[in-house]
Amino acid sequence: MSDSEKSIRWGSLPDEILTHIFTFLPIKSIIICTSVSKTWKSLIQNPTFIPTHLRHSHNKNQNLFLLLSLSRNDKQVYTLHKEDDPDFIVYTSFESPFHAPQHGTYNARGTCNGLICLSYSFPNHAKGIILWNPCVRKFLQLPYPNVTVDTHGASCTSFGFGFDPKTNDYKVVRILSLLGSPSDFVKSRPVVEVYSLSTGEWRMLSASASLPPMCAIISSVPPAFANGALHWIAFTNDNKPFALVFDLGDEVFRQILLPELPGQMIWTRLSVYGNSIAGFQITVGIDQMPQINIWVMKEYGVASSWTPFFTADFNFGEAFVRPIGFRRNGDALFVFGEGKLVSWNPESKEFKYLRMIGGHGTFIDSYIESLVFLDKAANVAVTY
Amino acid sequence: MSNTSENPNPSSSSAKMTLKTSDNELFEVEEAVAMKFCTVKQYFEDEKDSDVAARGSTTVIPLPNVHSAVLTMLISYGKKLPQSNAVADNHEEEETKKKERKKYEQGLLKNLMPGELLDLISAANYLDFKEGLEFFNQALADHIQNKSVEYVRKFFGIKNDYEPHEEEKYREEYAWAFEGIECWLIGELKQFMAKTKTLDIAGTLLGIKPALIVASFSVRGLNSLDSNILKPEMIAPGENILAAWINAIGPTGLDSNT
Repeated sequence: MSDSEKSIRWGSLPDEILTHIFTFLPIKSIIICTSVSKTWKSLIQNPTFIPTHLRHSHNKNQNLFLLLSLSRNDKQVYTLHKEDDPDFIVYTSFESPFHAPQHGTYNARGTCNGLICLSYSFPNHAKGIILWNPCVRKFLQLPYPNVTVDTHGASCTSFGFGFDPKTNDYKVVRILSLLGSPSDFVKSRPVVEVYSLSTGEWRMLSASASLPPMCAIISSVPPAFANGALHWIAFTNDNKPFALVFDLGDEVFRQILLPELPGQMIWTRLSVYGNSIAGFQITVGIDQMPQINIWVMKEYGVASSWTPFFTADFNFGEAFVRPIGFRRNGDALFVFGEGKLVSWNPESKEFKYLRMIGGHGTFIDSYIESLVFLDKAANVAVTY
Repeated sequence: MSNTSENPNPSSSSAKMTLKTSDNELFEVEEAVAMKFCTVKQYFEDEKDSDVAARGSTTVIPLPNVHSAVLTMLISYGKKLPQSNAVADNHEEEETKKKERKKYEQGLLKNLMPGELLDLISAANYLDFKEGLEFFNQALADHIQNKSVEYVRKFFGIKNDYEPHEEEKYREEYAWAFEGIECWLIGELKQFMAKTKTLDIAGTLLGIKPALIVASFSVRGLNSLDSNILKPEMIAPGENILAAWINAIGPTGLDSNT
């Protein structure tokens, strides 16, 4: 058979085979393939291939972790690491293309399906909420939200970001706790607005069924996105903490009770733990070293299933210890001191040093590579 | 081509199926392996439903789109996969089988020509052989990864339907993706695609007319230091040879050369 005949036969491979082959390629090569011909471009840059590639990424079990690394020349660099790699070396790195004005920084608020949600460091600054896919070097600047300092006054703002599979939509949630006086802290319900990628607009939550209860979220720590819902630590007016849950699909609020313990407890944040959530907490006792505790909810949603996972004195051996999340294999992740990333295995109860990470704004989240935004036109999602 | 399946345990009661290829070769395959080809499985199940007595009798399943050479490779690969009816192995046996499979896969890919890979993919697709497709498509992806656009186009025989200005604009937009990509020269590509050629020793030829003549400027006769050494020991053509040299100066340094 001549070369040209053979070439023709290759070209006769059905589309499903071609797209299957594309899912095995690294992202750079996939982009090269879009340049091969217009037919190939339409096979790749289409709304069915991108989720297929995403599913394949999920199944590949690469177990990647995204870290905010030390800034180089005032530029933020995000690095990806293979979780199963014993030395946790850099798999690839992304330089943030965003220039933050007025000496602020862009902080990562969450990742989902390869997208990173960033917001400008002054949370009341309405500008600068960005959805970024560093794998395909495209980003989308979100429009100006409705609730700002000008419209509602000063507030504590928290962002959440996630994907709703029911509507196949990415959503960013902004919760603003309006501040009252020190004695009357929670004077009203938080104001909530939701941005949906499919509409490209912000929408205030106003229907009574979907309003949050009277409470305040005082920390700007990102919520945990688990089971299709965002989870924040919120406080009632009597200063009682609970988990405030916002389901991205139904857009309704729920509450999950936190375990009650003697002593003064400070819940610092909630984190994703497998299919459920975990809570990080510091207990302050009298005549006693503060203790760090991690609790996990073995059965999601069942308050009685909160189980102690880890407990230790606040500064066991190292200067300053902070739990920040979990690895996919269930190990807890801590930052020791200035920026030592350490993992802890609950079975062996051993610590393992992973690497040094930046001390400021330590952001870590599990990550998967994706092509999301590749199908968006240049005037919608910016390429850099 | 072997038409009998290799059954390491002849006393086992594994049922066999007969498959007929496009070139009319018959293959007896263990049911466990043949069932990995979902097209075959479907055919078998349809047959079972329609004719109760069919089970156990010699039903020959026709595969008009699959050549025997390709089916041989697919069956060999299918045998190396974990079998659904196999007795559960202990961890050690499992590891050994995994290593065997890896070794087999590497060997298979090493000697595979692009045309054969295409045949395997087409056949695996026709047979709905999922594990085979997974493996061969991955192999093809590994081959084209990090290759240039020109290479991929040539390999698949795809016509570039972009306007030049469109393509340029696109490449500019995604310039970062095109960095560091291997650039294969068309010549190298042709060489890769062509079959390998081997040189065979023709042997000693006698009675050739006219006999080859040694050039006048070549040495001949006995060595001056040791008369036991005859020269030349080996000869090759030395006149009218096509060779290359830089334009600046010819091979002899003369103004012209013949």
